[in-house]
Amino acid sequence: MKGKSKWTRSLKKELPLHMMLLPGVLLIFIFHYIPLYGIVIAFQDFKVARGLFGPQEWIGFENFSYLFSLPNTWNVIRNTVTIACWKIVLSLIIPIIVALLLNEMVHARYKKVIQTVVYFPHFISWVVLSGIMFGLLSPTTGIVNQILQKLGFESIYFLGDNRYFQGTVITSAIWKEFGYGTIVYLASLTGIDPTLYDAAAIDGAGRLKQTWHVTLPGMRTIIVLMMVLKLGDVLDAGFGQILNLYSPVVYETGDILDTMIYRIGLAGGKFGPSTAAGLLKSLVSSVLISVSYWVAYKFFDYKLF
Amino acid sequence: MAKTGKIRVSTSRKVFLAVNNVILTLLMLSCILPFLYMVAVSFSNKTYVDAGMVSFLPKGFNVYAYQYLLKNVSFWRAFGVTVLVTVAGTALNLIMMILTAFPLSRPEGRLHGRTLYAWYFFCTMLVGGGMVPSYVLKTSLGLRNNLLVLFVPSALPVFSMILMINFFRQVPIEMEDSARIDGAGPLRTLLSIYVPLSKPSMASMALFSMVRHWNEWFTGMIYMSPKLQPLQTYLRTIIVQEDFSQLPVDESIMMGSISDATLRAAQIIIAMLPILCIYPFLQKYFVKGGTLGSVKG
Repeated sequence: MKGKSKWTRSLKKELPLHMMLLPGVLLIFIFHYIPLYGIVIAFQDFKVARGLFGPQEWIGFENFSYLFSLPNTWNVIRNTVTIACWKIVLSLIIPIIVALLLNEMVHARYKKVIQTVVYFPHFISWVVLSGIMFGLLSPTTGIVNQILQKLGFESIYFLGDNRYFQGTVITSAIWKEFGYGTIVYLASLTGIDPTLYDAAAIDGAGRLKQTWHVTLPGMRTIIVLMMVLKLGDVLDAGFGQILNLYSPVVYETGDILDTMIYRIGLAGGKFGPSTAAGLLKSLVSSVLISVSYWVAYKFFDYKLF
Repeated sequence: MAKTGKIRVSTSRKVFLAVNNVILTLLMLSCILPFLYMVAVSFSNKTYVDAGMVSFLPKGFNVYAYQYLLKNVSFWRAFGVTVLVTVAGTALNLIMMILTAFPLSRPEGRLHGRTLYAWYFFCTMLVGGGMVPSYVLKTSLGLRNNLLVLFVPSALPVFSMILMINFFRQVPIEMEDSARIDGAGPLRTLLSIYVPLSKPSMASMALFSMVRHWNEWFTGMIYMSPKLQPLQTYLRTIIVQEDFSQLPVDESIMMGSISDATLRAAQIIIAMLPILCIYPFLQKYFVKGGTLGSVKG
């Protein structure tokens, strides 16, 4: 009895806080948890007219077997993992190198200018960037190929040739994001105790040795943490980028899970198989993300909140 | 640590610094030149563009592409939609994030069920329904061709909200206690103490939200008809699908000097201008927004 009144009293006191949370809770329920229920579409012969909660025909794993009867599925999975892994590795290494190089710069103002400029592409959409890339990389009029031709090379169809498409996608994604990634590492560099460098110098360590023995160990935690947190991206090869850059000519090397899910489902109207593919992808991703957060929390005391 | 450098700089160090400057300058150029190329194309005569003779300076300078663009109704309609969505979406984002983050930032014991709420929101970052289920849902809610679809479903970005929780946590708890003694309720405390004290963080969140809305194209592409498309979706139709059906024929006089390529470049430049305008502010705040909270390791 007494406990109950205490409970109601605290509820009454905390009511305004609960009310503040209500809009967010409802919004997330509608636009996140209801679609989560929508995963059942993967096991149905889904007819849009009957609605998400309507009487649909259950067909077990038929959508999944359809998916794996498609000739490209394994190829698409391979493309996804290949592109994503290259992006993960390079988006880790390049910003670290750039941060180290920037750290060695003597002119503080020029350093600031460089920093300011290299972040810029991060804020530009892939639609705009694809427009720019089509212009720059055009095999006939693009400046890149004009230069290649002047140097005596054949012109390269970067976005229309299966030999070059993955490389172009990976390079442009790294180009867009390396500046942004750099700030994280630059921030961690400022946290290194400067007396360590003096001590190393007294011990006769040159700049390279100082970088190796002082700077990199000082960044070790953040580097490993970023590595762990990127684990969840193994199946994310960059939907927005590839949807804007690819074309049927390069499906062989450029088609990834997300673009396939989009083409089968929203563009092709096969809702069941598309949801099935989405479910398989998110099962794997969810496990990876959960593991990465858990590892980050357990070993690096990383807490989101 | 470069302090000692004045005394004696070895030759190898000098060489390294020179090479280092060159590498970083090249990297910087790689981030400017593509945009400069677009600017050059947009101001060039089509003959030079089609011949591939334009590099980073306009050839056959003219502003016809921009003159033509001024009269392009589809472009400005899409521009208007995006401005509207960006303003409304950013405002709604901030309201929802502030309202949700504040209760969740309260220390243990001041909000019963806090852990439950936290997991409720956190789980959305781990699992999702995917493309088709949310398409079916939004369609059945009547959000097709409805401007609301461009900013309501995304009104609460969970990761940014979590960053905001961490901002609110930096406000000393004594502030809340003294406000309560003065008779202020939670909402009052939030609005007159917490929000003003976290102004820089709020600014960075607002800027990020603006960029997100400005760059949104996928939702517009699958839910909106051409008349209600946001700018980036419209741009996509002329860039990726190369759909120039909007080009009227009576413009033939100017057509002598402008082409698809120059027009496209001009529209890309205009669409980037707003980002360029807020870039100095982004620059100022985003070290905070980008690293704080996300990386405390």
